[in-house]
Amino acid sequence: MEELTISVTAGPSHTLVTVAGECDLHTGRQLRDVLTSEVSHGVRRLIVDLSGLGFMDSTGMQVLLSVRTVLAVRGGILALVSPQPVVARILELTGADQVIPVYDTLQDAQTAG
Amino acid sequence: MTEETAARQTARGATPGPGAVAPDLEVRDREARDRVRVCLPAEGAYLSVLRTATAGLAARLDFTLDEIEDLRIAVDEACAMLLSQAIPGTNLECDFELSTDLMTITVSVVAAQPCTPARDTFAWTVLSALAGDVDSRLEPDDRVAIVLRKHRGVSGT
Repeated sequence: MEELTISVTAGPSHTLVTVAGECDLHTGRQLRDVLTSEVSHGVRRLIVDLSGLGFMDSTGMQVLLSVRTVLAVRGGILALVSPQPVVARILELTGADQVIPVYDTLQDAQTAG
Repeated sequence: MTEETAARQTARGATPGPGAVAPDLEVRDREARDRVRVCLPAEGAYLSVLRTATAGLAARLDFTLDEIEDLRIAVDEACAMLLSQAIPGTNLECDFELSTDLMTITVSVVAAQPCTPARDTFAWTVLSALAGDVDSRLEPDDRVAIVLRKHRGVSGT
């Protein structure tokens, strides 16, 4: 069964969270736990690299939206990088891509951020 | 006998003798529908298995890659909605009905207090956008079901 792999790299200007695998009802809590932990530890600029994520449903999307809301309240920002088509599809369907910036490359996200 | 019909006979438990062909299979209507049932523990950990099965069956019907991805998400969303009310230890049942250009998928669980899923959620919005034709219903024996109908070559959006 597909699992979710998450790694966190703290940088000078932002924290990069790289996710791979599949994010659904079962694995979505892992993503929520990691992202909320980073935010609670003071991270304000989060970039999530989605290039290795082969699936995401509305569970994962709601995690991203809630983290984005918390960061916005605290003056921070959440950005997404290189979603695969199936992930881009659900971001588009829910309108999440209208409130969370999505970039083609990590460099684009870093430059814009 | 083709490999395909042989597989069907095996699935039905039929054991014709050498060279024998079951008449009902030989005269089988071209429009007849194949049915596949997948039964899994009603746990989120098995959703990925069901997504994979869905993609495999949709590929059999020559759905496009985009349509297959839509179905993967739709089935996942439907099941995720139902799992929230499934009784632990019971099964999630998924019935696929395959015809030439239509896949009808019925997912169901047994619930302590069965109720049809709310339609004002992100999940339902996603589901209806992807599958096109979606309905939910209460069934006998405390089952609650969601039915998706996806036509090949017709955008769900």
